[in-house]
Amino acid sequence: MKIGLKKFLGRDAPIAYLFILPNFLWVAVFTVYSVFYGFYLSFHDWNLVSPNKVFVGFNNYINIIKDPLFHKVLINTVIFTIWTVPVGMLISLLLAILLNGNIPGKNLFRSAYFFPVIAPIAAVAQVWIWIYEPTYGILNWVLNKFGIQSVAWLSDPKWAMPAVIIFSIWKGLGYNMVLYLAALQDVPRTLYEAAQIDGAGRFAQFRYVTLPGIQPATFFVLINSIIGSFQTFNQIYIMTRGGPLDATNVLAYYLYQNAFQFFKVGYGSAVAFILFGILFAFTILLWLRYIRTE
Amino acid sequence: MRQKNNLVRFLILIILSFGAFTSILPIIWMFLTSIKPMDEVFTYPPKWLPSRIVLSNYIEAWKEAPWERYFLNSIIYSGSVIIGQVITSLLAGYAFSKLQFRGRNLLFILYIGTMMIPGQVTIVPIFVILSKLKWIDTYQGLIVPGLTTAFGTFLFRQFFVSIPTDLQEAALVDGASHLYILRKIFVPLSRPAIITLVVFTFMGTWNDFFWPLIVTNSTEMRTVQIGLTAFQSQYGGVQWSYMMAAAMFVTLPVILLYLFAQRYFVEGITLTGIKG
Repeated sequence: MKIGLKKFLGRDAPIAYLFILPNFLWVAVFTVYSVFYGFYLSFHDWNLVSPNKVFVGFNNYINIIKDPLFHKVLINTVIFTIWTVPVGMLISLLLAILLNGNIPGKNLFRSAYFFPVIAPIAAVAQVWIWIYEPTYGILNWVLNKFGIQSVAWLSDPKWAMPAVIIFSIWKGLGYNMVLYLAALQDVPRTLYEAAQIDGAGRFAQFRYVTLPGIQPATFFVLINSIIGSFQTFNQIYIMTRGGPLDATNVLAYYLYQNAFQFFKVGYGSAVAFILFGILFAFTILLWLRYIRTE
Repeated sequence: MRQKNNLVRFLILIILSFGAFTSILPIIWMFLTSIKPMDEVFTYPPKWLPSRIVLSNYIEAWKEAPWERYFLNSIIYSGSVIIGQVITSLLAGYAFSKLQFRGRNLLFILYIGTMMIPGQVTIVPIFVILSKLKWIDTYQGLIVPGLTTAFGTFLFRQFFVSIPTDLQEAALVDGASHLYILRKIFVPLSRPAIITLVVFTFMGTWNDFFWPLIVTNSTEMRTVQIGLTAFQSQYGGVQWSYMMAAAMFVTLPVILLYLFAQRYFVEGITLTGIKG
């Protein structure tokens, strides 16, 4: 009997399961259980301290969808994503391509581009607040030099979102660049040589060799960037607290406000699941498109 | 033709230099502001270099907030999570690569798949769980949920796969236990992978903002990043040189680590990318 069990579970069964136990225990509690628990909470009205949670059905979801602030928050999140993701991807791809050639000081460049990625966001967001300062900030000074009027970047509802977007692109550029650089180096040399023999110019080589070669990386960067962008919180909290007049209030910040400032636990959980639903749909859609083009 | 090539290369260098300059300019500006005398901060046009270096900004900034405590908390948080993640990832990585058991590949894929669930989805329920345990605003609340990692498990699994099984088999014949083999054979061989995980986890925890913001709320439990943001509400907008000095000493450990271990950062990022 014992030998049969051993045969069924594999040679190293008891000790192997013991070795993976911590990871699975943690995932069971902090991911699997949490997802279900969060889903359960999203159908309740609860303030964290009261002993009983009131079942409210879909009310939280209905109230969110009816909330004018939520509409604004959703639009803000989409605007933030539409700017940071494509612009960030384009610049990082361009930099990676330029850096991929035979460039002196290549490693130094790469280090410089990567630095914003590893710098603590709380610290660099502070410098950017200082850079964006309306009267003495260096950004307005540079703009003035080009004859452009000063802008009250973070305190003007019109300019706060662009300011946060510029900061976010700056912060994330190096991450995608490193991924692109690795992908570019994986495109086989022989493909370029073959294309050259066939008379393909620089542009044709880029179009028909480079772009298809880095497609998996582009796909990964795209999904990763969208997921990250929809969950943006830190720079919003540090630089604007969602203001002025909710001009930079985004989904993750709205969730934070409801769940952790107003202690509307059920409502906050429902926001989380709407966010989850959007990201899930996005990922599936992109996957399907990707598989079709493969 | 050659001349045209040189021109192109020159243009590329110009673009790259401009980009690199933009990437590090904010850090330079942080540093320059941090050593400026107060009256040279608010000037128009901005004064790039200070007329004299005022290091006392750092001392003043340090005295204005309980930085010793913030640093201690950050060190405890980072240190504990690093130790926990290295141990649990070594164990799981070894099992997933060098041990035979039913459901190995399926469990591995399922486990890695859990990384796909966005953190925002679980933050509220995790907070509720921790508050039921009375762990909010405690070290265990800050540390325990982060003790395992799919990234580290994946990293070690990939690394161990490339180590030949002969050594392991020979040691098993000699009657060594798997824990002993892992400790005496695999750990010494996988130093680069361990350093990558340590560097990554340090960066992740030291720079972490969202998690400590949620889990802690008293000044005694705050980490450096949250401390810096609290400092902003006191001095931001007024005492820019203090503010920048504080930002400098929060950033400094990361800069030092980056200078010495840069290659591990890049390797780790590339690995996460390939995995997806």
